[in-house]
Amino acid sequence: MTEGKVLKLENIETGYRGVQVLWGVNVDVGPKEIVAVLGPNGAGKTTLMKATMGFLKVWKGSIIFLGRDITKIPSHERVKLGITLVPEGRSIFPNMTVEENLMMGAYMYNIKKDHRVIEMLEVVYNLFPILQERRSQKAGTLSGGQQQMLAIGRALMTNPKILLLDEPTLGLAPKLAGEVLNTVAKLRDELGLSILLVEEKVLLATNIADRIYIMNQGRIEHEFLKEDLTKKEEILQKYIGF
Amino acid sequence: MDFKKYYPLIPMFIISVILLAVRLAAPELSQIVSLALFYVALGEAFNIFTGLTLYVCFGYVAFVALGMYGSGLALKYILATSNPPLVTTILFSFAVAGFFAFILALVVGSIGLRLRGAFFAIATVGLSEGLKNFIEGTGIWGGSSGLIIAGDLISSYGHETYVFVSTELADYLMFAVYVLSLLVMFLITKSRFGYGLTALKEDEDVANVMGVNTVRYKLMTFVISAALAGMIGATKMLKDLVIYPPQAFAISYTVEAIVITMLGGLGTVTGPVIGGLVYSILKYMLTVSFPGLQLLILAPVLIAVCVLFPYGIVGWVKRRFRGTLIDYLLV
Repeated sequence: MTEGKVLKLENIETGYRGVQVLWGVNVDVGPKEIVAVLGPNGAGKTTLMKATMGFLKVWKGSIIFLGRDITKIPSHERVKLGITLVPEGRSIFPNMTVEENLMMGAYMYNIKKDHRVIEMLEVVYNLFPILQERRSQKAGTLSGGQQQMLAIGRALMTNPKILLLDEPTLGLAPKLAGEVLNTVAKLRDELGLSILLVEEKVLLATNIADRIYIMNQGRIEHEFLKEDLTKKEEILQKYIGF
Repeated sequence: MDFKKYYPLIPMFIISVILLAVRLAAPELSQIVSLALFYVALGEAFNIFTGLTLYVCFGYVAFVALGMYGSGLALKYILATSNPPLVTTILFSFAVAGFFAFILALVVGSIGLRLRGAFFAIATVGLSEGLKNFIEGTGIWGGSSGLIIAGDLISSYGHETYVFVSTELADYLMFAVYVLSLLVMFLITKSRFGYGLTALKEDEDVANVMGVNTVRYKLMTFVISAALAGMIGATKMLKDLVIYPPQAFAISYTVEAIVITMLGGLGTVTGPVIGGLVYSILKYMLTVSFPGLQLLILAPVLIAVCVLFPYGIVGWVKRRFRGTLIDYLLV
């Protein structure tokens, strides 16, 4: 089934300084698909993101991106191939303006000469009109939800094929969390992106996801396919661990 | 071509011209001016690494010391084997000094800069002490009895040139290294490389997912900064004409570099210039009035700066006059 998959994580084992966190994790993401990895704190979700992005060395297993083994490729090269991450906690540049933040995302390109930069900026502004409205405002003065949109927008400026989102709703009010996840769905529907999403807000995530993995203690415990996503009670039960 | 972004060079040019003019016009002030030039250059070289990446190398003095050794050894070697014109000798010794520091930074950086933040600082604490003990213990490069080049200079170029080198030429060379560091720092901040560093300084992971090769970027600023520190060492060697391990590897140079950049404004181009001037004048005045106690100003100045002006003098002025011409010209 490697064919047709955008990203395939095979038997990933990794951890920090000898403490193993992930124990043979298998996750894959298809084209134009939102795959959500749900699990409680400490399940290893962020570790999975770090390993996929290359911040953490993978001890065992392999990462296949568009049929190519990228397990040994450094993070900044993975970005050039078309994988990018919106890290947990947004981490925008608060002292730069909104547009400067977005331009930083286009760092790989020759900003003055490459027409793709302007095109991507237009895409981002169409997706998030509020960012265009506040383009010359300092990013630190945006609200939490807007900062998250900016972080997603900045990641889009790298022109990715797959976007990794590490808890984009962290610290947001429920209404805003819903809005952010709706824009994530728009990324799939309008831009045709594949998305690997890590979340703790189970019900919100099931609303937009095409497939769900339940992760616990460094292992994938269940997989819910598209047709099973209506069984919310069962998902919740598995999430809580009954 | 966009010349506007080079306007901030004007105030730097004015400050530099004043410094040079004072040195030329008032020989009686030469002592304080050479002290100021040394600290300004040291601060700026240090700033290129620490100001742009927020990484601190506690063994920074090792690059200055290695530059001193490099230039001293180069001088000894070239004067023993041939009798070249003074310019060739000096250029050769500077190249070797920069190269020695560059190689050390490359080795230390390519291992150490894989560590993040504070871990790198901790890992470099032993760098200067280790090198000092190595030189003293093994007895290479003159060991603990030091390396003295005065005799070589006198026998090759005569007494008059020797005096000229250590009293006049060394100051102008220090001025040249200072201008070079300032220009390098300025050009980096205005370049694409500099924007990548801005991202790196804020958040390394984010810089990484933007496609910045963070390890290489950190290493590049580190070796540039070290090579400049090596050249500062070369100039200091020409001034002192002698080097002993305990003085060369004195940890106070590292601390002073930190104080100067913090005082002036970490990561700003003009910060170390202002910080270096203020610090050297303070230190000179204290040396005159309270001899032996001058290093005591380090601690209170550092604490006061951290508490009162966390962004340094330049940072404070820029914030105070945000959006005005001053903010624009002072970078």
